[in-house]
Amino acid sequence: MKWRVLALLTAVGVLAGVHPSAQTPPAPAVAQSMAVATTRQSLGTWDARVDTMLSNGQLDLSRIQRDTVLPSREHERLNQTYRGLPVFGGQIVRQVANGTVVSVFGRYFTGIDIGTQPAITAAAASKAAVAAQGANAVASGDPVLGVLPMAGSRYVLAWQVEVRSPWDIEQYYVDAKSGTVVRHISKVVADTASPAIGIGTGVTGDREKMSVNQAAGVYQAIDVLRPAAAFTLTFAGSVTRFNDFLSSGQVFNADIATSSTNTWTDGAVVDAHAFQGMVYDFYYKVLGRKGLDDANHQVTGIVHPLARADASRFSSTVVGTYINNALYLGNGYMLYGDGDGVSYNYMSGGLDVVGHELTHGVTDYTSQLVEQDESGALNEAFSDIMGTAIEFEAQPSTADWLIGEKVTLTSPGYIRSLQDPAANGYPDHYSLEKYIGTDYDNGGVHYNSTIVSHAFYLAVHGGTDRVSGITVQGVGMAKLDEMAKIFYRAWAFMLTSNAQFIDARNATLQAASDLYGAGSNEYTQVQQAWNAVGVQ
Amino acid sequence: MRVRAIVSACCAVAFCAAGAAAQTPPAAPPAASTARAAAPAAGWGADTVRLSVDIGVQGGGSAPSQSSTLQIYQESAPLNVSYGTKSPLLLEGGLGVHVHGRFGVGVAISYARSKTDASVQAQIPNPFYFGQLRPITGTASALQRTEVGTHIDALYLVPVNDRFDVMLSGGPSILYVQQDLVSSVNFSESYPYDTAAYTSAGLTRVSKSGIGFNVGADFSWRITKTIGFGGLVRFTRATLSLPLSGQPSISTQAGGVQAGAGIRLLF
Ligand SMILES: [Zn+2]
Repeated sequence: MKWRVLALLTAVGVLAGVHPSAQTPPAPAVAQSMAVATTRQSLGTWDARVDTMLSNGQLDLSRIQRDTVLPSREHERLNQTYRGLPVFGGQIVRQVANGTVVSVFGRYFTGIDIGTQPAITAAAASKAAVAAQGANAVASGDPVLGVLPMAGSRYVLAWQVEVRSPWDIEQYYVDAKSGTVVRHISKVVADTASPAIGIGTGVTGDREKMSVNQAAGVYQAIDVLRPAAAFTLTFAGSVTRFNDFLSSGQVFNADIATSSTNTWTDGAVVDAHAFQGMVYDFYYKVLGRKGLDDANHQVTGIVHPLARADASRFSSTVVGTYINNALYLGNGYMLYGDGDGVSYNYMSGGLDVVGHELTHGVTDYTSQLVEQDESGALNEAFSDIMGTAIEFEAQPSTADWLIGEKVTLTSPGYIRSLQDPAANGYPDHYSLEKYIGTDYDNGGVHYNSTIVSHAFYLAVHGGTDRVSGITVQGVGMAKLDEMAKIFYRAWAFMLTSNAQFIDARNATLQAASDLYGAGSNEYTQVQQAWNAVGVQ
Repeated sequence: MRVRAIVSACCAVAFCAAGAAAQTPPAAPPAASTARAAAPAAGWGADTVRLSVDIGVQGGGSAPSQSSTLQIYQESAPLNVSYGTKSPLLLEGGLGVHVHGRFGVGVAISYARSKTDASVQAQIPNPFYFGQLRPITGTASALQRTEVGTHIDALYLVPVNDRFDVMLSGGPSILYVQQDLVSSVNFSESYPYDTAAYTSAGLTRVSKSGIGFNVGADFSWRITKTIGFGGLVRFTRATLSLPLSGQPSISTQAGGVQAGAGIRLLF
C-alpha cells in the first residue's frame, strides 16, 4: 500500500532557509511515499491523475463547496471508491478557479486488492458492534460496507456501524469476512471530555499550564477547553512508528502524550501543547480568527518523531528535516523535531517557532501563498511576523524580535532577526533580494523573507533601515496588535497564491486604510516601512 | 445545706411579657407565702439550689473574617469571605448551689444558633496562563453557626427584698463553636476565559472549643417558695481558631452579650 500526501503546500520548516540540507526532499529512508507538490508542474500531474481516477470510477464527486473567502473559487470534494465501495478516509479536494485547477489536496490509498463480497450481513455486523459497545447500546442508521485502510499496508472489507449508548456515540468497523470488530472511534470526544489543567516544565525550564483531558487513570495531552481540539502526540523517537506514520498517515490513541500525575516533565510535549493553545488564543483574541481554517480545525502536534540520541545514525538531510526542524505538514498536523542538542534544542520550545509553523496552516487555508520565490518569501515572512506577534502577546516579559532564540544553541543564538536581519546575513532591503528563480531555498523563500518582516518591525517599533537610511517612526510597541491586524488582514484576505512583495505593500496599505483610515498614522507608518525597505 | 432553685422560661418577646406579668403579681398562692416565710430577705435562705431555664438572644458577637487561598488551575486563588452577623436565639439553663454566706457556685449551659449570609470575593486564575486572575463576587447563603457555652461560676447573691434578688456570677467558660465556612467557590466561565462569574460556594462545617470567661447577673422574682420568674444578663467571650483543611485557621470570637428570661426553681 502506498499512502500519499498530495500538495503539502507548506511542508517546510522554520530552519529550511538556514540549513542547505533542508532544501532537498525528505530522506528516502524515512519518507519514501511522501510527495510534496508545490510547483505548477506537479500540480498539473496530480490534476490529470485525479481526472483519470474520476473517469475510471476510483473517485466519486461528493459535493462542490463555494469558497467563502474567494467567491470566484470552488472546491470539489472527491471520495475514493473501490469497485463501487467507499474507501474510508480516502478523499481528495480540488480547488478550481474559473475552470482552472489551482490546488489539489488530500489522500488516497493505492494497492487495494481485496474481495468485495461480505461473509456476514449488515445485521450481523450491527449485532457484533452493539455487543462490543456493551449494555444499553443500540445501532443507529444503516451499516455501510466499504474498504478500511489498516496499519501495516493492509485493507479490510468492513461494515461501518454507528452505535449509540449512554454518554457515547461510537463508529465501529466490523470485518465483513470474520465478523470481528477491527476499529472503533468515539464521535463525541468533546462531549465526553473531562477537562483538567495540568502543570508542566517546558524545554527551557518554563512553567506552563497544560489544558488536558482526564481519562481513566491518566491525563491525555488533548486540549478540550479551547473551541478547536488540539492533540499532542509523541512517537517517542521510534523510527518504526515515524515511518509507519509517513507511509500510512494514521495516528492512534496510543500516540497521545500522557501523564499519570498531570505534572508533565517531557519539555517537548509541554511546550508543543501549551504553545499550540497560545497560538489559537492569539488568533482568536487579537484577530478574531477561529483556528487555522476559521472553523476550529483540529491541530495535531507530534513531538519526538525521531530521537535526538539517534541523530548520528541519520543523514544530514534527515537530521535537517526531522530533527533540527519543525514542520507544518498540512491538515493541522505539526511535527516538532528533537533538535540534535548541539545546534538546536527541542523545536517546540520556541513559541515563535510554533506560531510560525501554525501560521503556515493559516496561510494554507487563506492566501495559499506558493512556497517559491517572492510569494514563498511572503509566506515565510507572514509566519515570522505572526510568530513574533504571538510571542509579544503571550510571553511579553521575554519577547523579542528574534526567531528561534529559545531553541538555537549555537551562535548567534537565533535563526532570523526582524529587527536587524543583516546581523545574521539576511537582507534588510529589497536591493539585496537573492536566489529568485533558483532552487536554493525554493528561490530564497526564507532568505528574502526578512525584507518583508523587517518592514513589519519598522512599522511597529520604528527605526532606520540600514541600507536606505530612511527612518520610520513606527506606531509604537503598544500598538503592535494594530499592525498585526493590518498585516493579517492583508495576508489572509487580500493576497493571492502568487503574490509579490509589491502586492503585499498595496494590500497592507489597503488594510490600514480600511481599519484605521487613509489619513491615519498606521497608514503612514506602513507606507514609510515599505519605503524604507525599498518595496515601492 | 438547704436547696434553692430557679427555673425560668420565655422567649425574647415573652421576656417583656414576663416583665409585664412581674408588674402584676398573681394572687399569692400558699406556696409563695411559705417561701416568703421560709426565705429570709438577705442571703441564701431556705433554698440552697437554684435551677434556671431561659430563652433569649445573644448579641455583640463577632463574625469571622476569612482570608484563604484556594488552588485552582495549578495556581493560587485568593479567597476572602466576610461573614454576616446576626443575633442568634439563645437557650440557657443553669444550676446554682449555696456554699457559704452569700456565696455559691454554679454551672450554666448556653446554646445559640443563627444562620447568616457571607460575602464572597475570589480571584480565579486563568486556566491557560499564570498571573491572569479574574475577580468574582457573590453571596453564600444560610451559613449556620452554633455556639455552646459551658460557664463555671462563682456566685454572689444580693437580696433586694423577700421576693426579689440578684445573683452576680463570674468565672471561666468553655465555648464550643460550630461554623459553616466557605471552603471552595464554584464559577462559570467560557472561552476565552477572560472573565468568570460566581455561581455558588462550597461549604465545610468546622468546630472548635476554647476557654474564655463570663460575668453576669441573674434577677429572680419569686412567686411561690419554689417557683419564680427571672432574667439573665451575661457577657462571655473566648477567641477561637477555626480549622479549615489546607488553610490557615480562621480566628473568631465566640460569645457576646447573652440576655434571656425564664423560670426559676428554688429548692
Ligand atoms: Zn516557515
